[in-house]
Amino acid sequence: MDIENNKVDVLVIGAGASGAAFSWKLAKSGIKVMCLEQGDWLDPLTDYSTSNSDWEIHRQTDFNPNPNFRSMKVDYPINDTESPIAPLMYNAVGGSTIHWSAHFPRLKPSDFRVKTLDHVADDWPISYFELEPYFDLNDKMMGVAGIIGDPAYPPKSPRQTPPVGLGKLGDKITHGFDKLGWHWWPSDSAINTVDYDGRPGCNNCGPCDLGCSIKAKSSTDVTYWPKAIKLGARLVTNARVREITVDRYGKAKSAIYYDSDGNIQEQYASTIVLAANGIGTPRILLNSTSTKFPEGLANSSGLVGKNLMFHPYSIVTGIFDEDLEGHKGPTPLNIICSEFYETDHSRDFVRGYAYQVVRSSAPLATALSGHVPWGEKHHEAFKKRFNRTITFAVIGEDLPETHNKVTIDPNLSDSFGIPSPKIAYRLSDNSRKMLGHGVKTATQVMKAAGATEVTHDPLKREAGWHLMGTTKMGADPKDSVVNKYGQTHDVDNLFVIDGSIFVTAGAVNPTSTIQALALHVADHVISKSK
Amino acid sequence: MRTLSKSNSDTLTVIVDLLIPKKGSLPSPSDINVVEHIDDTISDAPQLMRLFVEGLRDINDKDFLSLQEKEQIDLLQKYECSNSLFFAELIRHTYNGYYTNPIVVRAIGMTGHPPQPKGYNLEQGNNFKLLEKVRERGQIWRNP
Ligand SMILES: Cc1cc2nc3c(=O)[nH]c(=O)nc-3n(C[C@H](O)[C@H](O)[C@H](O)COP(=O)(O)OP(=O)(O)OC[C@H]3O[C@@H](n4cnc5c(N)ncnc54)[C@H](O)[C@@H]3O)c2cc1C
Ligand code: SF4
Repeated sequence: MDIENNKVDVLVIGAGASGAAFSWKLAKSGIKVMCLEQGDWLDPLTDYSTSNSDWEIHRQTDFNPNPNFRSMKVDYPINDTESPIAPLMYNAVGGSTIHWSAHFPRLKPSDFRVKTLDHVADDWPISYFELEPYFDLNDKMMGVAGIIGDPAYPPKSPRQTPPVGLGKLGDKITHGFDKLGWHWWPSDSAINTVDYDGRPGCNNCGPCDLGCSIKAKSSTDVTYWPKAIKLGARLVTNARVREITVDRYGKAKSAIYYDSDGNIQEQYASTIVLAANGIGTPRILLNSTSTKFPEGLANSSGLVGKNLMFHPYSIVTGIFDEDLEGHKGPTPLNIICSEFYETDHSRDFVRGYAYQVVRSSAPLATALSGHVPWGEKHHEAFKKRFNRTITFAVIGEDLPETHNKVTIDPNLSDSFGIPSPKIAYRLSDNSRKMLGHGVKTATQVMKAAGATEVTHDPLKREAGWHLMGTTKMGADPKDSVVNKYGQTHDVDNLFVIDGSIFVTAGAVNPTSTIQALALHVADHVISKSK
Repeated sequence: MRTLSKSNSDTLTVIVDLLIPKKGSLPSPSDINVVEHIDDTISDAPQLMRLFVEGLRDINDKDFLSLQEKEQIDLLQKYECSNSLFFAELIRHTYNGYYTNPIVVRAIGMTGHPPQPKGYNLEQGNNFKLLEKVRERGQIWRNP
């Protein structure tokens, strides 16, 4: 093999939220960048089910967010038997943003300073304000709907499109917040509400989680990737990386991967960047053992795979006695309540939580909600809920704990025989108390808005949407895996840019911050290469 | 039918109509081919096929079709506890077939079309004006 001819400047692994943003930035600066992605392109027009009458059934099959249920060839199984929360993701160009709800809040300034402020976990080696220019750039690239002026954030640059509409349902619930005098705001959403950047405005069809066939939702296959490819980035699909090899000096040398025919290939690179998400990245590192790195690559701290954070969720649902037209508009309504976000020492937990408002479930999801019995009472129970529910997803900050972790399962592997990950996660006492508080306050809002009945699920299982913390960022190589530039302490030409590098989780969806970090790391890699 | 025998499909027809009874403009599942939907689904899924074929045979063995409706419901209720795995799948696939049928989707008040390509008209809502009060209450983010 002619190594020099088969060598790229920068090799990215994973074409999801972070890999796309990073590859675009590098391609723009003229660097030869290649990305290996285990999944394939999806065609929004033909591969998404929402134009067919059986669209809701796809949530149970090929569009289930849980890879264990989906079990497609591009997926790898995950042993989650020791976790009350199931990890969710999608494997394709666009990664998990194919599925995502496009909530786009940023972490808040205090999230980067939890040790200083609250004496828990660790501060990040980077601040909100250092990341601000990258948040702004990323917002432009993704296209964000919203309204500036939210008092729960420092001032932000103007949003690209107006906020997602409230509709009847939004009006109803915001009255509840208003009555209590509590914070609410139209959360930033990576959804075009009007035409923006060559993509159309949302037509309020509802099920964003099943993929947006008109490309109004900003998944990275329709935002960053087309631009990155135009600028020269090379994206190789159906390429599943087994491991990263090192040379005799301990530098990252190549990625070994299986191509679409199942043949082993080796791609050499000067710099290797992991963007395979909070589970996929530690999996690759732990599978990359060598005499130099017997415990896995970049793992001298022993922290690769440790400190897994998910954001535990409680679900609170209010039933209203009028038709709220809850099927119209993006299901994630994208209203956020930050009233209980920051630490309040009068409570019995540190840090805080937010809640996000979700519209009513679609017909089949309503029927299968567990509240609609079969038999005589079936139609009555269905009618009581259909289009008449509002749900809060109470999202709590779980603090990093080393016993929450990703390891390699000795008995499980994917279709290529690559060892698969195992998750161990326990909900902490702090998180339990936090969510309990969240359920109480969310119930108050529902009642203030006029709900006739309120139910809740204290800990939603199918809610491991956010995968963070498994290659922690920090200044001390003994206590972290990467530095503030995503560069691993042990291998200086190896970087991580996905949610794995989060030091703490905050209590908002992570992707805006993941992508801002990826752009920030990209700038560092670009400046080093000059 | 691709998989179900005549006796199993006759039994399933009665069962699905007990699970979701006909009411007003809402059809019974057997009116809108829910049994065919289930037959199709299980034909492509060997494990599910076994669950259904064995579950239905078991119910048939109890002379299900010759029972009075009340007795049939009692038997299904017992079955829900004693063979919960099969029953959960029975419910899921009955609901799947029923609530994705355009006739039903129209009867519950929607357009009957899938979400795309038409989407829906969403009122912007009146309450953005309430944000002024939220703003007036002042900064709540913590400056580190
Ligand atoms: C249903 C759902 C809803 C969500 N909603 C929101 C939301 O509203 N807001 C929000 O902020 N976040 C949301 N998320 C989370 C969000 O999608 C992720 O935070 C984000 O996509 C993570 O970006 P990433 O680059 O770290 O990983 P991903 O986007 O997951 O991309 C990782 C990529 O790496 C590839 N890969 C992994 N292993 C290998 C390998 N060995 N070889 C080659 N390729 C590999 C994968 O195929 C994948 O494409 C949601 C997620 C899901 C599943
Ligand atoms: S609601 Fe809007 S953004 Fe979501 S899938 Fe439909 S058109 Fe796309």
